[in-house]
Amino acid sequence: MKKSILISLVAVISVWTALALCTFLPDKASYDAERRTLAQLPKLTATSVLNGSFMSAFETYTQDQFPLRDAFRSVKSFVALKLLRQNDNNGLYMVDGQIAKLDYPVNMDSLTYALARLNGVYQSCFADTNAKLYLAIVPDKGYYLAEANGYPAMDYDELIGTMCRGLPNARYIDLTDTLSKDSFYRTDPHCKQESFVESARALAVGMGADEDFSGEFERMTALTTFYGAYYGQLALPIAAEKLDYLTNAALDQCVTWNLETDVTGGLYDFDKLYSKDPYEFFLSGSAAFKTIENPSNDSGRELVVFRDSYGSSLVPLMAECYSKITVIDLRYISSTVLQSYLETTDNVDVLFLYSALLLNYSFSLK
Amino acid sequence: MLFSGIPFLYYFLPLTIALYLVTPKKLKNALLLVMSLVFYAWGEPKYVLLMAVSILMCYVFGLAIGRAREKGGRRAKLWLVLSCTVSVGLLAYFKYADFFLSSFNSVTGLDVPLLKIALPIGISFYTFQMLSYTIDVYRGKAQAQRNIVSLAAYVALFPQLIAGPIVRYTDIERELRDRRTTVEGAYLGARRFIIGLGKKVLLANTFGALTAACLDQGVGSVVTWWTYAMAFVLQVYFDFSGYSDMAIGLGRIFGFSFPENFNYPFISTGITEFWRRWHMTLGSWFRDYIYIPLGGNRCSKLKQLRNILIVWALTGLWHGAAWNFVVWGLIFAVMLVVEKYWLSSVLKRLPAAVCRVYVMLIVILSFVVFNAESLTAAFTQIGGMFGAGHIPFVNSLALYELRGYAVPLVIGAVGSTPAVKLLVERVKRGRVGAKIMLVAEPVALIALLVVCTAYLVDGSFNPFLYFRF
Repeated sequence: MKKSILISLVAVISVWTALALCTFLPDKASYDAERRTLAQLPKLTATSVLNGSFMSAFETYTQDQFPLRDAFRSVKSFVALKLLRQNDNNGLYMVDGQIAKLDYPVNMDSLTYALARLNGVYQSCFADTNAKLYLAIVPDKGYYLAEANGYPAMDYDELIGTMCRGLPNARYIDLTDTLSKDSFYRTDPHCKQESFVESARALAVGMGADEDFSGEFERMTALTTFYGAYYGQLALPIAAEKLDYLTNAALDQCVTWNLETDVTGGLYDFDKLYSKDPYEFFLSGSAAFKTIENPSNDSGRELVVFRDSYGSSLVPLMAECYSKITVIDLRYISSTVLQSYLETTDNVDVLFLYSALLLNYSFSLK
Repeated sequence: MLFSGIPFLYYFLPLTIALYLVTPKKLKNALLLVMSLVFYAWGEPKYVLLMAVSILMCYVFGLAIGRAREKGGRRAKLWLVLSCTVSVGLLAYFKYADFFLSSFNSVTGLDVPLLKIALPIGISFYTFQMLSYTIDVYRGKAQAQRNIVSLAAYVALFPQLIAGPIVRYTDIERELRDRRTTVEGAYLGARRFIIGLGKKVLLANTFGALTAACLDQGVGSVVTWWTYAMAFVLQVYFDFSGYSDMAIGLGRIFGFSFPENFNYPFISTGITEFWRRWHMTLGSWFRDYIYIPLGGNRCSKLKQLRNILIVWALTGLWHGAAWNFVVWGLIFAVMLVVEKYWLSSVLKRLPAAVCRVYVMLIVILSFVVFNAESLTAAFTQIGGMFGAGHIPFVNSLALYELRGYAVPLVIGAVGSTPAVKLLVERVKRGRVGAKIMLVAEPVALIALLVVCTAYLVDGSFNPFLYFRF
């Protein structure tokens, strides 16, 4: 019996000691799966010890830099979802191979905030012009997955209704029927660009700009191993997917310009394919103020789009319809300074194109 | 520092054990004291001094009481009263000052400013330990400790410092002088620690998340509030009994035998039995140092009633400086009185299952009061459990949460009974079973450690409920 106890003790202590010793392995700077930088060893000072900030920073550091962090997070996810049969892990759930995020209920404070920002933009930049105002909301995965699979869902009718009522000057263009659960990347919150064609068509028709919309694109593969943002968060082994993009002769000629960096380029940024977030391939990701010039369209018609990241892959598909598109992300530029950068003409459409996810957490809008 | 944290599990504990093994026997208490102060300072750097001063006074008062006793003088009582006044005074100041002031303000309508003092972690536990030491020295049950390092090591001993069990000086007096770390003790200690860690990380935290999810529903439904109440009872049980397991296991690794704190309280067939199985070291502390000195059962019925009410109001107050804790304690006082004078004879005639339902009902309702932000909130939540306010019987969110937590709830319900322990013992009794368990037990413990680590690395919800006491 004593021998068996000794063996058991040695086994348990060995694993424990091995894990403890592994904590002395070199630290990592960032963690690709979670798309974030990792906490580093905090500086030890008398002040940081006395006010307790060293201890809390050290605890975060030990969690972030724990050896085999990826594997341990997978174990946790597996135990929570598969063994304990919990509905979600850290707010993420998996249905039909799709990872989705729980997002409910409708956050009325957030909608009120968003409406204040958007109405502010309209009043300061477009109220005294002939601009035609439109609103379109890109539903998140939850719209197609949550309720149908027994997960709590936000009341999308309430969200859309509140936004429409709050923007009385805007005409609402419904995109819900143009998408389905398969329109999204399995491991990412965003829609696949190839699934956005009907949404782009609906927008073009809704804004009366469809005469130049061909709807004919060539589908190309940019990346064969795309892991989206939810992949790292859920930490379960899931096969990679492809990241495709659409182009045609008109889109190939489009030139983008970024106000902040003063850099010109195309609609797609191949350098971004190997960044932390390959989705930034579309329109080079988030940017405060960007223009898309389409030399193939000489109608002089312009579009100003206020968008979030969902717009990155949708807006390029609208490029055919306009001579110029100005793409603005209010998360990175204040609505109060916009007027000085916008050169509005009489022939302009203004589109508020936001995802339901952002509207429900809109406090990042400036 | 949390037992269920990476810094403790993979930095502090391995280092402490390694140092302990190479430290000469004479200096082992000193090492444990130093490491215990580091452990405490990790969470409360500024209150280390308060604990050090408290220990110093406890040491001086202990010696003074011991010397006065040897001389057979009356001064022993004087020193004891002084010692208790200082210890209880510090506890009252740091834990209850604002409670008394706000209650005073409410009664008088005055607006005396609150002191807003941060509660020193574990003050209720180490104060009670120091009180038991000085009282036991006065009673002649313990010798005054002349070695301040040994006494300080007893009070500050990190395994039981901040959330119990409430270890009395007499429990480990001999082990402070002479103890051995054996292979068997180390293994059984490690096993107990890992099981406690599993209770805390996998069950208590999961039930904590369910409790929070139910509260987030707002008005909810009848099912929501019952789910909330049951989840909270399970959370408290696995949180506190898990912590006690970890403390007892750590004590065992270092050669100490700490008293048991929980003995499957949910199988009790009466509230009296429940309190013999729940937080046993606190119950016995109040019995030996408050209830019996007040006269206990050996006095008139009226005085017995008074004694019970005092003890349970204090028990409630010990858990927190708020009226809901006092009410929580008094609920048990009432139930104990009812059982003592009337219900116990009825319960004896009823099937055990019925008695257990009765106990769980009282426990569940009482813990709703315990966890409420205020008495008004407690009434609203209990009302919700019985459909007050015309809330629906069930809503989709309640069903969603129940579905998602069904497996943990079943594991929790079974795990709170001795069923698993009995099953393992039965398997071990058989020749084949014993051989299987030789391999299965360490494998299961390693798996449990790995899964707990995985949960901690993932940075899940991880508070300790009893830290606030």
